Amino acid sequence: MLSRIEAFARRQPDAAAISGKEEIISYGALWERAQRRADYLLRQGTAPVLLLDNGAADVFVSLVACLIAGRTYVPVRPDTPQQRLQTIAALSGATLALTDLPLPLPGVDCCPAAELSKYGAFPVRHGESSTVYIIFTSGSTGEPKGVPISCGNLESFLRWMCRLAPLRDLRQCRVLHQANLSFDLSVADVYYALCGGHTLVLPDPAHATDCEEIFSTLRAQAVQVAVLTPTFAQLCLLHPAFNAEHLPALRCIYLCGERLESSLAQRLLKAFPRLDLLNAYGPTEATSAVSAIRITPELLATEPVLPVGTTDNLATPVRIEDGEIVLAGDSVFSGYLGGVTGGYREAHGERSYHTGDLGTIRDGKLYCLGRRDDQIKFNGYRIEPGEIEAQLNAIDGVQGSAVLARKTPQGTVKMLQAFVVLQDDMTIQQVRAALKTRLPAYMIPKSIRALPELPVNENGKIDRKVLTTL
Amino acid sequence: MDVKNLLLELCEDPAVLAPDVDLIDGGWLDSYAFISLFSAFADEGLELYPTRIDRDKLRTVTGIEQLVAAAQANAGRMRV
Repeated sequence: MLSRIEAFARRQPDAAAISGKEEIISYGALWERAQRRADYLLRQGTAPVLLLDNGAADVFVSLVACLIAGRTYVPVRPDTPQQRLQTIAALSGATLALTDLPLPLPGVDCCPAAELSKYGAFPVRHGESSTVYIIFTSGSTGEPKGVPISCGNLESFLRWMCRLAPLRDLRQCRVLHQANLSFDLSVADVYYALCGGHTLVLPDPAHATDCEEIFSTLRAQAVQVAVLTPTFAQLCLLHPAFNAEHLPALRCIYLCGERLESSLAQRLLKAFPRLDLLNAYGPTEATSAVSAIRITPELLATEPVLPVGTTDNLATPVRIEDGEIVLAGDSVFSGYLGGVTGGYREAHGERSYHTGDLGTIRDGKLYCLGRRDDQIKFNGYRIEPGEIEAQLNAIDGVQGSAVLARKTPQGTVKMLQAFVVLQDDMTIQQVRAALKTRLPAYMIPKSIRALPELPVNENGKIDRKVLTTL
Repeated sequence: MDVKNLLLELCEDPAVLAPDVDLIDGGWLDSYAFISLFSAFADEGLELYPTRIDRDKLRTVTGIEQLVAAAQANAGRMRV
């Protein structure tokens, strides 16, 4: 993986590796700056490094520096609440944060990354770490779960992604990077681009979720491949000029992170009749994605529920056990940090991950049919309602809570709703404010309603069916 | 088009209708609600595009109602 980036630095040193709003970094410069930064990282220690992704081009210098130095990186968003950041730092064992922002984290040195490229030796020896990155996902027990992804996992993912048509055939193309590094959708665009000699195109970080900014970036930079969530693709379609006439270079949209509805696929193919529209599937625990299928008008005409892959091109072995999608093989991680079990299994020398996704394989196609537990996907984010409930219950003045996903008739989550039982002097506004200090914005329920008590069923458990009728 | 009912349907909370609620900063107008709101405008034949609207006008129920009224008036003029 690293040798491929290094090879492109030698073979095409002037080609743009990263094209940001403020800065364009060539492969040659990326490699040299990353080497100097890696020199510091190698001297500083071996523990994981918190990597604050503020959307700037320089973040990718740090990422490559971590790869060179063999330091595991832990990507986090700059708006991560302090308490969650502390939890992530503690669980990952990070001792250094590469950031321009002062982070009051006990036991973690903060270092402005850009300063590190000015000094240091070049070239440096490479460090070794089995874990490339750790991404934290929502955990039902109330704390985020750390998913360590190894070099072998990432290689397995990359081998598969680079076999996908049309991605395998593109040379020096421009790839949109929209999702934050803390969201593993980004693994697809970052590693496909950097390990393939392509250019990773960054939108203005201040407006990265704005469809006008994405449209103007796609157009101005003649982007050929866009990696998006279906929700974000829907947002792009709100732009009246998001079509092949105005974006003639856009050749492939790779969608992953949540269910793709037929209606959205139809609209995308209407706007871009010659588009290669890929519907990919996979959990963070199996390195971003394990399967994908090209969505065509013919497929749309025959499949009311869109498949998420074909059995003849999988990143890792996939099987169905009792209706659940189970993954094994090289893309599957080696267990959560801290020994949390979750869906991870080790048996008979095999690592496997029981996804909790209901699925089936029919005529060589893989289908994902929903969840067997409460976990939800909302705007591409994976959320455990139990984690939000645990954080609500930890707020002084909250006596009990329940969190539900409100869905459309088609089953798409449209919002999170919380019901809380409050002490007399507590208000909803206070609960919302307290929750914002504990959870990232995407996990804050849009609606929080106070009830005198939570309804319970005959088993003494919260009656969620009753709550859905309120 | 009844903007208040639409927002109630999207947010399922009457708190959203309070005149001083900031729909963007308050998290009410998230991606889903934003997409649904503009899809509803399109269904009504209103030429309202997020890229051509001052985002601040989406902050309050009153602001959205004014946008819709102006778009409806514009659509009426176009028909005449």
